[in-house]
Amino acid sequence: MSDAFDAVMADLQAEFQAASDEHHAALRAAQTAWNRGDTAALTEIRLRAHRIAGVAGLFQAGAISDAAEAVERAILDHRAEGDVAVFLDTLLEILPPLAA
Amino acid sequence: MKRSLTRILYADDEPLLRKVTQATLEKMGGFTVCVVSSGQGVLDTVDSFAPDLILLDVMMPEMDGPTTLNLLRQKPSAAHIPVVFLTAKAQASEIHHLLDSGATGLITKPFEPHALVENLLGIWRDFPGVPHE
Repeated sequence: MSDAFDAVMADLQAEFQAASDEHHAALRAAQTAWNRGDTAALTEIRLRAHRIAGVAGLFQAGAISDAAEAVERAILDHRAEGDVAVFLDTLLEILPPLAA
Repeated sequence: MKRSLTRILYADDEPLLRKVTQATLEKMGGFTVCVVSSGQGVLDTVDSFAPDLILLDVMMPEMDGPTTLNLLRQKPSAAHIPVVFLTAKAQASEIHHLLDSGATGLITKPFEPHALVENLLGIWRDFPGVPHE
């Protein structure tokens, strides 16, 4: 890796943390709405998971990326709601929570 | 001698991914990069920037990658430009469909930075339509 690239990535690491916080809050809200029967919230969950899967892997957060990919794939494959819920819980567990 | 890959037009709707990819292409690949956030941005910019290659995210709101590619292919000034899709691993089952749509290549996200540059250079080397210097 070049020094210039490493410097840029170090700067972007903070943005990744902030974005993760935002994704965590948005996923929690969408999960709550989905649990109340709002099926449109599943689209929000899928789109968030897609974004997280693409970005997290670039910041050495492969486990988060894989967990997000599992959520996205479960929704795209029309897996049972219980399966999606389990994958979503897993993602929320490892995604950095809102900063204190 | 085959012309080298120097100018890349890149479109993605995810802000952080745009920054990382731009840094990768510029700092590691040494490319001149124009970054836009939508398929429409590609159509609006392609003539003025005159890219050697276009890197397109597949899943973008309003105008997705395949739709953008289709419109590029209808544009005489841009129809010849190789287009490479960036797609999520979860959509890997669509690879054949995406390549059948006329894309020159496909790269899955997330990617290793050096692998992105190497993959693009490989796609460029293999692309038969690249003019010679």
